[in-house]
Formats: sequence, C-alpha cells, structure tokens
Amino acid sequence: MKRLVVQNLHADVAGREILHGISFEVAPGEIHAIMGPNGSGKSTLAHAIMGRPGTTITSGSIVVDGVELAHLPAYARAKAGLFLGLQHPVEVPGVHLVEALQAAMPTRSAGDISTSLASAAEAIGLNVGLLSRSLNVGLSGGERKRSEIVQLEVLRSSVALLDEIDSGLDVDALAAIGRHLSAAVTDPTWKLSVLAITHFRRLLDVLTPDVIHVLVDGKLVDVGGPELVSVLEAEGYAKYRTVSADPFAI
Amino acid sequence: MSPTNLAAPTEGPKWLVDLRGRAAVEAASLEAPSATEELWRYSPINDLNLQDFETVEAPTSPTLAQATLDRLVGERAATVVLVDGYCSSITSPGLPEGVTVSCDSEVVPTGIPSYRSHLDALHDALTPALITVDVPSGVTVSSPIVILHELVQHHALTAPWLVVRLGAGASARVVEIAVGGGTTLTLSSSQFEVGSGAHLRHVAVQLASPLAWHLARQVATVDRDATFESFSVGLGGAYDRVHTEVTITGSGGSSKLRSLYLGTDNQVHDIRTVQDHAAPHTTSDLLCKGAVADSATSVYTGTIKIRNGAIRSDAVQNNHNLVLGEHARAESVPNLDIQENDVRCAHGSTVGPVDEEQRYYLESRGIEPEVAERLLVTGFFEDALDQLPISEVAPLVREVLSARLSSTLGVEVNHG
Repeated sequence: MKRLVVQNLHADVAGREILHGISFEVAPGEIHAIMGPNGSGKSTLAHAIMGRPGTTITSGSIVVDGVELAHLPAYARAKAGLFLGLQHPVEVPGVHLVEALQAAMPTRSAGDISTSLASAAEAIGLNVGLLSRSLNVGLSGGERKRSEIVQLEVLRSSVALLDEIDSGLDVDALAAIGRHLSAAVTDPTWKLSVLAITHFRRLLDVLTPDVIHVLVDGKLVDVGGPELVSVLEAEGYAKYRTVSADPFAI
Repeated sequence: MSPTNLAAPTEGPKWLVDLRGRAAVEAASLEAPSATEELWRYSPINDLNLQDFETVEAPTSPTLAQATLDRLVGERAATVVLVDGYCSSITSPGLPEGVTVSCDSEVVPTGIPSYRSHLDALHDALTPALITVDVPSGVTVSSPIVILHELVQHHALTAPWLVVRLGAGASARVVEIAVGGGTTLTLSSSQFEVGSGAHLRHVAVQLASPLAWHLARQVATVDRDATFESFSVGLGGAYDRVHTEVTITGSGGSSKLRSLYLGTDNQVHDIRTVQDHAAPHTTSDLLCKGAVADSATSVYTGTIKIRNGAIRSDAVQNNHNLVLGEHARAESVPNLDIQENDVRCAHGSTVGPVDEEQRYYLESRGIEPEVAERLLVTGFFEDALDQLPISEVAPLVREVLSARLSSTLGVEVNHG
C-alpha cells in the first residue's frame, strides 16, 4: 500500500533526452495506463522509474511511500516496492526461478517460496512444471508474461510497472492476467498500484484503468478516465503532435 | 624448456620397456614446444623448465584418494588408484564378465605412431604403466569405472597413461580425477577406441594443486554409429591444458564434447580441440565454457575438420567465456578446415562480463548486484553441469566449484 509520485522526470538514453518532464501520481489500489504511439518514450519511462543502467535521470523525482528513489540502483527501488514486468523477459540459463526469488527475499525459505510459486502459477494457468526450469529458458512469450505476474504475486510488490504485458498473449491468458491484477488491486491487504504501459485497449478491457495518461514525444499531453481509450482508438495521436507528425502513427 | 636427462622407469612388460626406449630416442630428436607454434600460442609453455622436475622412481601411498572417492555417489564398477602415474590399487567389485581393468596388459596398444611432438614422445618414454579398460562387444558396464590419479611427490614429473577400448555395441562410463601435487608436472595421455555402435561416456576432473602443470592429451576414435561423450572440468593447476582430438572414422558416428573451467589468481586454462570428421553422416557437438577472474587467462582454440568424402557431416562448436576481472583475459580462436561441400558447420564464440540484461532483470526483482552476479556466474556453470554425462561426479564438481566461486566472488554460494 504505497503511493508512487513522479515529478518533472527528465531522462536520457545514450546522451539524448527522451523524457521531457513527466509528472503523475498513482495512489494505492489505483490502475493507471500510459498510452502513446511507438517511440513516444513509454518503455523508457518504465525503465527510468525502475532504474535501468543506461537510462539516466537528469532531473526530477520518483517517490514511493515518501522515499526518494531517483538516485538509487534498480535493486533498491525493487526493495522499496517497485516491480517491473518486462516486455521481453530475458532467458537466464542455469538460474532457477525459486533460486532468484530466494535471493530477492533472503528471509523466506526455498520451500516456502516454492509453495507460493506453485499456487500462483496454478491460479494463473502457468504449467507448474515450467517453474523448475531455468528462468524463462524455453518458455513461450505468453508463458514468460504469466511468469512475470507469478513473480509479482510472490514478491507482493506495492507498485507494478507493466511494460506491454499484453503483447504476445492470447485472449485467455490476457483475461487471466487481468483478473489477477484486478484482484491484487482490490485486495484490501495488498492494494497493488498498477502503471500499465500499452498500445492497445485489449488490456484495458480486462483491467479497467482509473486514469489514462497520453504520452507523446516524451511528454504527458493528456489525461482522462477510461472513456479516453475509445477516443484515442478513434482519433489516434496525431492531434497531440506538434512537430514531425507521423501520419501513419496509430 | 630445456633438454632433459630424466630417468625412465624400468618396470613393466617388455613391449612397454621397448616403447620407452624408442620414445626416448625420438624425444631427443624433436624440438621442445614453443609459444611461437600455433599449437602453443598464448600458452606459458616457454616458462616450463623440465630441469625443475624429476621422475618418480618408487611410488608412495595415496593420501587424498579415499577422501576424493568418498565424494562420488553411487556404486563403482572398478576403481584404479594411481600415485604419481604408478598403479597403486585396482578394485573391481562390479565388473561384468569379460571386462578387464588392468595395469600390466601384455597386449601392445595399436596405433602408436611416430611421434610428432616432443612432449608426446617424452610421455611414452617416462610412463610407469599403461592402464587398460577393455569392454568386449555387446557388454554394458552400468556403474562408472573410476581412475583416480593422485600426485604426491614434490617436483615429480608424472606420465599416466590410460587406454579405453569398447567393442561393438558395448557401453561404459569412465571417470578420471586428478588431485594433489605441489610443483609437479603431469603429462597425461588418455586414448579411447569406441567400436561400432558402442557408447562411451567420459568425464575428466582436474583438481590438482594451484602450483601444478597439468597437460592432458585425449585422443578418441569413434567407429560407425558409435557415440563418444566427453566432459572435462578444469579447476586446478597453475597451467591446465587439455588437448582433445576426436576422429569419427565410421558413418553415423557422433561425438559430444564439453569443457568447463574456472580460472583465478594467475591460472591458465588452455583448451585445444579437434573435431575430425573422417566419414560421412557424422555429427560432433562441442561446447566449451569457462570463467576467468583475477589475473587468470583462458585459451580456447578449436578446429572443425571435415575430410573429403565426409558428406552430410554436421559439426557445432561453441565457446563462451565470462571475464570477471579487469586483468583477466580469454582468447577464443575457432578454425575451420572443410574439405567437403555438403556439410553443416556452426560455430560461435563470446567473451565478456556477465550479461547486462540478465543482471538488470535480476536486480529489478530486488536482488543485490553482487548476489545477482553470483547467481549469473553460478548459473553459467550450472547450465553446463546439467549436461554432465556421469551424474555420480556432479556432487564432487559442485563442491569444489562452489568453494572456488565463493572465494572468488566474495559471497557464499549454495547449490540446490
């Protein structure tokens, strides 16, 4: 139950400023979506908040539960309650999921973590047998996304940043993930905060957002309620663009 | 290196005494190896001074052998303990009928050619005994046959020699373990003849002292539809060299070679491989993985050779190196010698620190950087250890590797 407050965030990648002053706030138990065209800086925003090496915050602040995170490395931000569900979770040969989660939560036993993993996997329809493999090795795109949600459940992070969690998922998997996240958000003992980055409305059909932010060219240019999804779908992002508008952008 | 007047052992069957004499003459006429040769490029061979070593005239008793054997799990079909190359004991409680494990074979091994290298000739001139493992056609030895080679005497030059022969359709698993030693020089030779349709699995674990020079030569011939799997683990030694040459002589034959090494301090691990396809429809699959920390060096040079007529051959060679220290370095040199058209060859090589994406992924779960690094390095080795063809050795290898990784990475490393 923690609040994420991002203020005037500027971030560079390879010496080029991608985010030009982003501010928003997600309260415990709220679902926010960030929508925007390709190349608008959506993934950079997720990585800037999580603390990816190579994504440099030049100014601004990221506060979770009153603690400033902008200067901290990724693992410390995770310990403060942030979770990033990656768009393309990498394979980590030779490292097993239970081993990784035990390293993340040294006070919990491997047996206890295995039990939690198995029940979370079963609930979300991920073959429990896959949990004994090396992290993501040999998993399909959809299985990797389910595994990300399973990890979120076991870690019980306060704020979930989800980068295109809907890509590569079939309808059933998407529905299962939507159900799970919605339950975590409304669970009075968890009150997960979600920042979902997505191109498409299909995720937002199964995970109803409280607030939608529109990110174009590294700036938040509009904000609204769930009704904004239909508007964006009908009209696209062209009206938000001031320079070099791409007529083919959706 | 300089010329030597090392005293040769005198015991053994007549053919061996004769062979030593011939090899000694040839050794004297062959040039000592030099790092200017491609075969020894990047190696510290120029620092090897044979005058620093002496041959062992009388074997002593083993001291580490039993403790090492105790770390292997399961039954053993036979156990040979060598001390400084001499046969100390053979126990063979579980050998099927017809299978022999011997230290005094009267049968002259076939295929001893004219020597091309000084050290190969020197090995045969100085070897105290030939250990033979013979598995007749159609016989399966289900438990491993273990050859434990303990180095005891300081400044000893030892030259252990192993020949393993499998008849048609036979199957066996052979483990070689080297332990002990101070400033010692080992020239070891292991030869494998895998008969048609036979299946030989081999694991060599080198745990010699950090002052030891350990030069191993492994040569295998693989006949029609036969399979040779070999996994070498290099953890000990100041200079650890494993030269492996596998020639597939029969159609449908295959080889699967794995090497794993961890270098710390000033260690040098030097892996040379030849995947020689001399018959059509043959496959070879090689993966060599290692990590170097501190000021350690690794050298991998591997050749895929596909001879004229070896059509539809399929060869894979991969070498992956983790470089964990600013002063550590890894050399990786693939070579292809392809004399046939209708073949498939693939090779890949990586040299570098742990993957940044993998590290970020783990850190984004709340794992501290040094723990993430430890997990990734351990995982790098685990991924290969999962492929050990003789699982009875896994606990021993994991124990030594974990201890080494813990001290290298400065954190406790637990397996399993």
